[in-house]
Amino acid sequence: MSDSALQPLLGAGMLVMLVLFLYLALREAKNSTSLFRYHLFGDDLKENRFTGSLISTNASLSGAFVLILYYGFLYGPLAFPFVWSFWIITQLTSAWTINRTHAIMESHGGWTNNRATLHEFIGLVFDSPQSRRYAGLLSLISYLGLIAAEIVLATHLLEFVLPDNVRLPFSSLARGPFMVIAAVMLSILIYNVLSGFRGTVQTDYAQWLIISVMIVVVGIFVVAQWPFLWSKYTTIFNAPSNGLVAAFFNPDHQGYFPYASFVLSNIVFWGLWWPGAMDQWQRCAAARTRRLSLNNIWGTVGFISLISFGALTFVFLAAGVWLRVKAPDALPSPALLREVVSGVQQWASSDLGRFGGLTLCALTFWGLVCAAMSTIDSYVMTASQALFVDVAHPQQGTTLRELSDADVEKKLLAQARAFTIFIPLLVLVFAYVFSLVSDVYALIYFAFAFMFALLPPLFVGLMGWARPAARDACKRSLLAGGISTVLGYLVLLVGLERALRANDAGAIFKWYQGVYWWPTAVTLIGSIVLWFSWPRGKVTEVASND
Amino acid sequence: MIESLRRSESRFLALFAICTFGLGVAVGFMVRLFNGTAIVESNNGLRIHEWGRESLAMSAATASTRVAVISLLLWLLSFIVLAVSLLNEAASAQGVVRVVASTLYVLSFIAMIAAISAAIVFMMCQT
Repeated sequence: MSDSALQPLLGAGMLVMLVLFLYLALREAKNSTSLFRYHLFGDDLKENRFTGSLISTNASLSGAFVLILYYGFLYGPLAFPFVWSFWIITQLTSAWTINRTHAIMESHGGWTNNRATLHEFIGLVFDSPQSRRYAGLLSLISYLGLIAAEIVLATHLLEFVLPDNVRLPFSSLARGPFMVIAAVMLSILIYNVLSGFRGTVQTDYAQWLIISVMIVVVGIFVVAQWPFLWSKYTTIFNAPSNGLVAAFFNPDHQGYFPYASFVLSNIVFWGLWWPGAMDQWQRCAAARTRRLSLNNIWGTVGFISLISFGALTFVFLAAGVWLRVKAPDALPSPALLREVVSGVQQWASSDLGRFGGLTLCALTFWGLVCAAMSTIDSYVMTASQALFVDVAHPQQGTTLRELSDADVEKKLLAQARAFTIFIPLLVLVFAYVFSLVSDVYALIYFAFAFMFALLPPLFVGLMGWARPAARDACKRSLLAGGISTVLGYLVLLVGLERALRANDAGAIFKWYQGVYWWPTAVTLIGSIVLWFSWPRGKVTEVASND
Repeated sequence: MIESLRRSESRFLALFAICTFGLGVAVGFMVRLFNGTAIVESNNGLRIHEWGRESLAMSAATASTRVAVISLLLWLLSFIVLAVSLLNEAASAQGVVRVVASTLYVLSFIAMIAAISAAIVFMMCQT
């Protein structure tokens, strides 16, 4: 980064984005007049084509960028059909979940009326506030972890604009960039506190546009680099000239079995994460109707979503390959995003001149920072709802709507705003702990794994098999899932860290297999516990005493 | 002013402090960005007490960074005070929280003035 105008330009652009998001979101502050409107938008979310696309794309996009970038780095360009299929399976699972939720909620007043979200659904079908609390706690940990991972990634990205030799104690994070991303999060917190989920939804359209521009710019970059990376990638990965089977099923020369393991474990991981994702439930519940979420063009299973996920996969997979080709012996690290921005700047400056270099570099950088902002603002509200509604107040009403209706004096609304403030404060602590390890890639899987602990009781509920007599089985399953996530990843992360520090590529690949499979193992452990705890024979249904 | 501070609700005071500290952090970091890539504590052997444009620019960068750090810490504190005041408001109790919020409100203006001063010094160095 040699252009002296670049640093102030990137910094000023970040500020302008923040001001824009504050302006858009704070317009909704006056409308956040009840707990229901603060956490779930209310009853006036407009039905337009854009809302459908929000449900399908926005919330988890930036975490996906990083995972796909790593897939390109580790497995090459021919991983494309598999990675795209991960998305397609996710979309199909989401459609199934939305339809089943509608069907099951009919006997609980209808989803359009009660607008139950993930944890409330579990609480309703098992008639168990305590299960709802456990489920909320698992989601809360998951979202705190995901935001923290986002902070670590964004800190490494911001080193591009704010290089700083001073590190946080015991950590690899630079002090200046960490402070900047903390400041960004606190700015976002202003509108999260005042406008709640309504503010988050208002910012999404602008964020979506900025992120889309970034994807287009990185797309142009990888297409321009295509001759270089296509001619060079065969020196690292198996090429079609070595046989199509080897190229597609053993691209990284590590063997057919490890690659099959990667593909299968991620089909399960990507395919099953949606039902356990509270933020997606939040958006679907806010939308009120299946017309948006299941729209054939813009919805979660829509044509536009399918194509955009394909384009996203291609762009970031190719960017990952470009990084690997450029530095074949490098190990994956959170600094990869920064390298992409730097690469765009160098290419654009040499091919398009100074103005082109500045513009394309800035658009890429802003888009990546905006992706982090988009994730942070929506996940803070998701974690806040889980903490306040499901963890702190599971006994007061079966849904947020009931809790809100009982809050005549708006005291709970004031408390909910206070709880929102605690989320970023907790995240900063999590982010510091996360920064102690060498790589954030495995930590994203770790954070997601808590969602997989929710799946066994949720699946039982969605199939219509749940009943109040099984509430203890539900609680035990959730606890077993949570405990196995923590213990399993403790072993995996320590093992991976040792391998990374020893620069042992073979061991790193071995530990990654564990990282990929453990969310599936968590679901299996939870399922086994649910199965063995399930009440057998004729059981008298009793009212909840949770 | 003191009387109006006494009458104001603590959450509004804390909110004003939050917004002002936020501006302080933003101004501080922008000054640093305009001053180059890294925090400069000592510039290639140049002694900080020696008057001149280079030493002035170096001081502006260092000062703005320190203003940003202090503003950020006070910003965090303001958020905690806002959270406590919101919880107290629900319980209809104020008192100490209002005093802390008022103090932060006043401090935020000082931080903002310091940040803008650093920015002005920086602009002087650029001319």
